[in-house]
Amino acid sequence: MNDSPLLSFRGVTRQYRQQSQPALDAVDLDVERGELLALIGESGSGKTTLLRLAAGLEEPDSGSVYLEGKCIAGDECPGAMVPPEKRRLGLVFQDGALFPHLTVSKNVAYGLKKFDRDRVAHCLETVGLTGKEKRYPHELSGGERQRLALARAIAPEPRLLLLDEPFSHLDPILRRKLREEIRCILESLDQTSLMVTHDPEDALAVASRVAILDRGRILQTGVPSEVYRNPADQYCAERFGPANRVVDRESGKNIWKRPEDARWIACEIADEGDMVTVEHVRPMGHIYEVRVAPDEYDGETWLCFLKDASLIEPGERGRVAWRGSPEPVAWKS
Amino acid sequence: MAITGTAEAPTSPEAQLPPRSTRKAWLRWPTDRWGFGVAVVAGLILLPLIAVLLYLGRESVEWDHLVSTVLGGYLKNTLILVLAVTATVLLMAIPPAWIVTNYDFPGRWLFSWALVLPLAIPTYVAAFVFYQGPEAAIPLLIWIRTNISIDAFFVAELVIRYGLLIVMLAAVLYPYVYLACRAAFSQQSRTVIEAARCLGDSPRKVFFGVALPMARPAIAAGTALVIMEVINDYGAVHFFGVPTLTEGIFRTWFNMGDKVSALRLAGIVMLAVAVLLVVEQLLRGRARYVEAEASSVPLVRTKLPRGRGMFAAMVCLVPLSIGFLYPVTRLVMWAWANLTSDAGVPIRAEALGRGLLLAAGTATAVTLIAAIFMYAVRLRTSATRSSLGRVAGLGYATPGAVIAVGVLVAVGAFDRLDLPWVPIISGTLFAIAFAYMVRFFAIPLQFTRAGMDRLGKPLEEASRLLGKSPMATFLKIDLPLLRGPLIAAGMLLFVDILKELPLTLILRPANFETLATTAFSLASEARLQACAVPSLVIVIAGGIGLVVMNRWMSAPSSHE
Repeated sequence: MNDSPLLSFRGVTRQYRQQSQPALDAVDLDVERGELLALIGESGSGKTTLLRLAAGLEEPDSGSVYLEGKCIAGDECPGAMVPPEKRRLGLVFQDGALFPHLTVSKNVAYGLKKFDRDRVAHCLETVGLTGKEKRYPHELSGGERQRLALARAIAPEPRLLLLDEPFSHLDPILRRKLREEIRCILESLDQTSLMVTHDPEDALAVASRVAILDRGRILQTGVPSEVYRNPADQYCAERFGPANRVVDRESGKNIWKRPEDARWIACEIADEGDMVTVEHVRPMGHIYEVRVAPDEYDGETWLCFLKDASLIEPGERGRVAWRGSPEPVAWKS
Repeated sequence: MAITGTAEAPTSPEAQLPPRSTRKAWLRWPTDRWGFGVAVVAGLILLPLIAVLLYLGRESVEWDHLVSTVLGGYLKNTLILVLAVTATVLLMAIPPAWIVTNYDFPGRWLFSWALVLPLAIPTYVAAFVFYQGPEAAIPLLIWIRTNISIDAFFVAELVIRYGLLIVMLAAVLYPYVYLACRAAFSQQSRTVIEAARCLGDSPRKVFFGVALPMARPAIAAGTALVIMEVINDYGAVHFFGVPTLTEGIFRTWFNMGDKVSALRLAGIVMLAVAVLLVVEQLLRGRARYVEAEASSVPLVRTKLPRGRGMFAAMVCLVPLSIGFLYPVTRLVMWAWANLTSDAGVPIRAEALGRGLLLAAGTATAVTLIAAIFMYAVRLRTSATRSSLGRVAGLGYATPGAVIAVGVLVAVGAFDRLDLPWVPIISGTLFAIAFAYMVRFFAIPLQFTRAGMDRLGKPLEEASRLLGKSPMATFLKIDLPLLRGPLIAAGMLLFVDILKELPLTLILRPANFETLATTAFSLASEARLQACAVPSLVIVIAGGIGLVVMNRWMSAPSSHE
């Protein structure tokens, strides 16, 4: 078997005529076999463009796209773009894009070479739509439609499944339920997938690896916990919730720390952490939200989530250290 | 650390190339069959139009003679008709449109749709109904000649003839402006109008100060259609003896045999229409803004008291009577007389059947070609394709007579190539069907475009990703889902082909009759009772077309 990644982008740039900034700016990205890679970005970050380039619905202006090591579009193979119907990819659209004039089972069978009753039944069973074969898409609920879209996409056994904001039209409760289901389905099928989303929660909950995209550039890739704990920069940090800027003592570089990683040291003289003044303490139920002003950071404040801060009062002095930080170093005297 | 893959990125020299979009995309040759098909169809449609323009530069001896004698008259008559008909149309169309959208009075609902009906009456049919007018005025004219002076007689005769023609043309063409205005008035942001009211403006001031200026782009679009129809008309100006440029094309080529001059006249007409389209675009300006902000505030109509209600009904009744009720009544009476009297002219049903078959066949074929053409245009976003898509609809703005002479020249040139195995096309049904396609391609194109816009791109993309080729996608997804708009377009096309007179007169094969040519030739022989029968059939078919179009335009999108 070929050990090159299933799908790779190399220096892919896409520029829309109306915009001054490229939608994608020399993007390099690999999708490895068996993984579910989530691409996170705000609207306009270029994430949908990347997905459409993978699908063959658009062409890169420069750079190349490879599928199983073979060039399918771009400079490496000019004029020989493989059209979408020849790529054997599945795509789950944002709004489903179900064929309104076909029944549920005909929708699923659409991508098959010839009608295969068993395959259709199997796919519908996988997504839990058994018994609704004769219905039309408009007779299904929002969640059922997205499941049908998934069934239709996986029926021809695609090499790679692309998902374009598959949950964005659903309400939060359904969204949470469906993304768990879809994760289980994709894992059980061992289906390599590339999902695009603007919701970091979707990405962290579903993906085995995430990539953060901003203004056409990939800022960071990694497993969810690593991207969450060790953001590459302020933008990556803030995509996943509040983060505090801390200067790494050794390298002098900025690193970002999550509020729940804060540790409160009541003792003013300790060999770890930074000297801070407490600004306010708010009990939030399961945690306390404590805002502190570190001495060394002029004007900046840190947000800390502490399990028990009932004894801490505004104006109090103490130290804050961070879990998972590099080894504590002695306070310079 | 995360695998970004930056390290193993192959550095190819081609990465240094400029982005593809900056290359001259519109100069590229079509790279696939679809692009090739688009280019061929658009080229075929443009061919007759280009043929006409090419003749503008040809030398001709008779042209100077034409310029010194009749050209001034053609231009003057065309200009007079265009200006006078436009003014009359505005008077006939705008008040009823404003009244039916803003006020409630007896018969409002009936009027709001019945006011469209005159569109079902071709100008030449209305013309021979109204041609009774000048005849009725003969006693008056004789009295003027005997009692006043011979000059007064000429003036009075001109005024009656031109006046009647202008009123008659306006009465059958005003629905173009009426429809545009009605849509504009009912889409106008109610809040703006209510704001004007609250600021203390009288209804009159609201109309002239706010509503009318906001509807200006719609009025311009409707008026442009009216002007095109006036320029296109051949039958009415022929009956009333008011030679316009279109009539000039007929006279120059078919009566005087001067092909070059006729084509030059056609070129002048084309340029005039082009200027008109540019002016309309300029007037339209940023009109889209106005239409986009259609408000969700429900429209509340002011109920008119009895007296003013009667007045409102009269304002609507006058154009409707002149443009529809009177002509239809006359036609029904004549047709009845023809069918019941022994001296009536028998209708050659067989000949008419062939005409109907030609219209139906052409409508079906052209609709399907247009659907495939539009699909191919949208298959890839490129400047070339979208401009070809727009160019292919240009025939609709070009008068039928101009297209007909262009087709004659183009098809004649093709036949002279004398290709092996290719039969002669000139004078065949194929040539006339081709001309209909050039003239009316915009109709199915418009309907298909609107339908495909509503379908959206994702269905197409989903089908492609599921392994279906563009052709399979068109057959399995677009065609079944566009059935409604395609049927509507085909219906409208059928009616328009049935009504088309100047183009049919020029291109029909020998001894081939359509409803329109039968009606016209019978009317030319002043056999009014006989010609009422085919005319009535055209009017009824046109009425059905209007109903179908109206239903499709107001129908909610299917499968929602």
